Amino acid sequence: MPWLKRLRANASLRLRLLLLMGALLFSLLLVSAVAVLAFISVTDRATWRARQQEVAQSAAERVSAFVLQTMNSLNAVTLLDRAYLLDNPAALQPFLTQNPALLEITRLSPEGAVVATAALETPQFVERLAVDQANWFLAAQEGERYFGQVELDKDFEPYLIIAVPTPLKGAVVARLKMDLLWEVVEQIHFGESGKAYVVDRNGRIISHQTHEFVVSHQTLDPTEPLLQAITAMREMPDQPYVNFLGERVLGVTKEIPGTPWVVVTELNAAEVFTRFRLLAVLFASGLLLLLVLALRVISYLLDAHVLSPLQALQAAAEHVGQGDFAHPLPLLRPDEIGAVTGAFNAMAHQLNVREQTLAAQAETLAAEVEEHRRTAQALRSSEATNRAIIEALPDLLLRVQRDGTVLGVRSGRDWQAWALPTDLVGRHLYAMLPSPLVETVKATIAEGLASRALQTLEFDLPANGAVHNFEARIAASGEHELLGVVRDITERKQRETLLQRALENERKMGELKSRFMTLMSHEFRTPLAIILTTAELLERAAATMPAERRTHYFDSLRTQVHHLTHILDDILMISRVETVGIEINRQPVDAAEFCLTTLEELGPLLNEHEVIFREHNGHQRVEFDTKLMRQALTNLLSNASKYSAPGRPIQVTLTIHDQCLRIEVQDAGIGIAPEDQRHLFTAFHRGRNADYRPGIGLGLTIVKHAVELHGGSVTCESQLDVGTTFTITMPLVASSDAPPRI
Amino acid sequence: MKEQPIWRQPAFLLLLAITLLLVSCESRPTPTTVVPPSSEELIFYDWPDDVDPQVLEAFTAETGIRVRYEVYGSVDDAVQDLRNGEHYDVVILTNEWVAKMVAEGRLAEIDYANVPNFRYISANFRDLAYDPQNRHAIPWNWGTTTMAYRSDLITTTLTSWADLWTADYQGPIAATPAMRDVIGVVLKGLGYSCNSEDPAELAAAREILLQLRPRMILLTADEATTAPYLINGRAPVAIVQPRDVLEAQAESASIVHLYPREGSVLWGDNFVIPTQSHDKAGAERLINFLLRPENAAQLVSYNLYPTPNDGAIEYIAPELANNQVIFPPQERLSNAEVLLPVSPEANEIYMEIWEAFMAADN
Repeated sequence: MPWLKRLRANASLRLRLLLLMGALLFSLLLVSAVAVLAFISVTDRATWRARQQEVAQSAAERVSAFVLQTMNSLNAVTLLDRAYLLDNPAALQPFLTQNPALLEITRLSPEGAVVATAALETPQFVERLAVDQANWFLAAQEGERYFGQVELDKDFEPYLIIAVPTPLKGAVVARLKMDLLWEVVEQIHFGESGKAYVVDRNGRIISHQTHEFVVSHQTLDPTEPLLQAITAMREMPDQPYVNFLGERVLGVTKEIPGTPWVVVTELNAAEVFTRFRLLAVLFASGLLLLLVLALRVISYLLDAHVLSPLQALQAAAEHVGQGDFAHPLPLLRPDEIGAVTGAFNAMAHQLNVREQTLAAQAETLAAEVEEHRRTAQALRSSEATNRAIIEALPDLLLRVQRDGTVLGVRSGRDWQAWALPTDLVGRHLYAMLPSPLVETVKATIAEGLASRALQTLEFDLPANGAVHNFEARIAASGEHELLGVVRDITERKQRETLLQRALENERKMGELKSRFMTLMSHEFRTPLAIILTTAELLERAAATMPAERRTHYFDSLRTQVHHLTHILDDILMISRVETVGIEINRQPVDAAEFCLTTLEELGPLLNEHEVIFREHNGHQRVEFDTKLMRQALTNLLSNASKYSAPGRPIQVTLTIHDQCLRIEVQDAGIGIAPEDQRHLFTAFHRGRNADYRPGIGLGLTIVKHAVELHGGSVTCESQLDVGTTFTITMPLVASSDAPPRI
Repeated sequence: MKEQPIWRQPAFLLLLAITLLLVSCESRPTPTTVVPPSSEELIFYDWPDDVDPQVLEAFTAETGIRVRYEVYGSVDDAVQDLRNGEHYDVVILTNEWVAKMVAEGRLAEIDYANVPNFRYISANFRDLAYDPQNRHAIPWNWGTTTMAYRSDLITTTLTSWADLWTADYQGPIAATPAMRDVIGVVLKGLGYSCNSEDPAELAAAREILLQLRPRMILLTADEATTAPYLINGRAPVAIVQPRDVLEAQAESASIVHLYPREGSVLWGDNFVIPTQSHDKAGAERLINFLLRPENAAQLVSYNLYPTPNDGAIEYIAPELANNQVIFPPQERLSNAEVLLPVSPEANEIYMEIWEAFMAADN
């Protein structure tokens, strides 16, 4: 059956549930219907049965009473005196009148002779032939009562032969009209098909609505259940049976007391069952309808309450499965489905949260991983770097414990030369250090461990015959451990010093520059102003001016120009010396001649002073840069002139001795303060007592440079308000010596 | 499941089937009776000349069934034939043989549906000892077995059965060879019951019978009555039934009919249907026809035997109805005895006696 296969294959919950419910309902309804119908059937039958029994009972009673009455009459006759009866033939007549159903009553002797008789018509029981053979007579002779068959007479009237024995074994026999039997049978009706009939114990039908059966001596077959029940003297069961007519009936039997007869009431089973069948049909169709309805309702309920939510749940689950958390299920009901929905929503929400958390965590993790990776990588590279660093580190690495125990030593390149002992590990640091340092180191270590901050310590240690500067950087590398990097910073220190000096020089230079600028502007401005004034003056008044006045002013112009030129030369020279460097150009020259020339050139400048020139072996041929020297000398003389009062002498002494040239320029000026003497040759430095005197402070610087370029030196001796002496000393070396560049 | 229309859903179909099944339950139809085909001929086995042929012809005219009238010389012959399985449809048997045949199972139960005229049988012939409740036999005739003699041929006055062998007269005795009747009258002559089972009594009767036999003329199968012998005087004495008497008296004036002192023997003839009948229903129809009052009356007027048929009384000619030979008054039957069936053992003795009696014919 294909539909069965489809059924099996279809795993739909709905189908199975509906089938299950349908089967359950059907069985339930069927069982209940069957039960109800059975009940109805039973009660129906019981009702009918009761009715039947009632009817049968009343019929039996009637017949029984009737027969009994006759019996009583017969018994009465037996008691009558025989002689009396013989004398009074009409003695039995009253019995007939009393009992209209009596057709004949006859008393016979034991030999069968008639004692008395009374009959409505011809007495029958008087014929010897019949009497002697009659069973009633024979029974009476046995002393037994006789109850005959119901017989029909020529008019189809039923009658009965009953006889009782007399005390002497005669008989009193009677013929009894049994119309009552017809009546009883015909009057019994119940239901539509209910009827009654009378049978005797042998199954012969005594009375029946269909007289034919009585006429034809219809007898029940011994196999008839009715006869079997009668024979066994038990009640007919409450089950339909088939009667002798082939009808299916429900029957009730009732013995008629005092007779060997049984009243049978029968009702067509069909009649009983008609109602039942109708009910059954109604039930069946009702059951059917109910089942279908119920299934529909169940189906609807299933859909509404279970399957639709399940489908919604499924759809939602699919959404969630795809990561779409935007479709929470509507929470509508407080029952189990609602609980599932709520749980599902919560779960989805949790899933969402978790997913986000997980995503975030994943990101974090990824970032962390990435970071770790990078960190690891960095670590690796850092480790590599560290290794490289450590390898490259030229310093001394020390790992020390809190108490100063050396845990590890690594000598960097720079320290290889130190040849530190290799078994430093395990030894106490403090034992190897000079005692003042030990305290410092201890304190530093303590501080480092406590603060976990980098500690820097500079100290000096004598090493290899010199004092070396060391810098130790100590940092905590563990709970009780520190790492120290010790570096020889001697060079650095030196460089630092140099740098500091350079910086200082820079600073000074800056100062000087600013001073220079100030001075320059002042120094230039002044001559320029003078020039301008003079020029203007000359312009205005040159024509009217006396000649010597004019000459005075022209000299003044020249002087100022010389002054400016001089200043510029100085500046240029200084500049060259400081930047590019000057290569001296040694030329042979007579030293003394040189000096005299220089003095001559400075004539006007030195007018106000008395210049004395001495020379000692000065007329030798020397080689120096005349320009530079000239400038140097000029500056010295200029200074001498500038810083001494007019009229005060200036002495110039030239000495050549031992291949050494010496020039001294002495003045009796204001002198130079000791503190200024230190900065004498510093560019742009002016003595503090220079104040209004013109000059930018380059002169001596130039002197110094020029002289030093020649490998010589210049010194100064001075006393305030006494005078100053500058001494240039330079060797008369071969001109092949390459002067150091400055 | 798919939405199927309701009339296609299996549950519905199942329930529908059940409903239809319930509805279709009907009570079983009543069985129809099958009417067996009637035969064309019935065989009626009886004493000779017992039935008016006109009645039988009337039956044939009415039903189309022919009746063949077969005769037997004695009931014993008839019984023997029955025992041999001969085919007869209706047989006339005397009372005492009915019980025997019933016991031997040779007689069919009468279906009174086919014999509604049984109701004409009078009350006193219902439920007799030899055939309780008339299951197998319907009484037809009954009668007395008495004596008759030619008073002009015999000087002595006969008054009792014993006179047959003790009285002084000449001449044979004519009798119908009915075993029980003959033995019975002898028994009664000896003062015993004609139904005696006492071996001593029977032995005595046997003796008498053997003595008598040579003096007896027994009717043959063609001879219906002893009347002719009385009439022609060949047998001055006869053991007679009413018919014999009436017929003789019709021809001769000196016939004396007497009811013996010991009492007459009463007999009865019954319609029986042997089991070997080919058409029981037809036989029953025949019996029913014969029980019809008019026909019964006609039979009476033919065979002059009294009838138990109440309905027939009105049809019997008054002279017959009042004929005291046919319908003897009760006082004449005061010590009459009905031949009753005897026990099988006694019957054996009876039969042995009869055989001896019959063989003693020399």
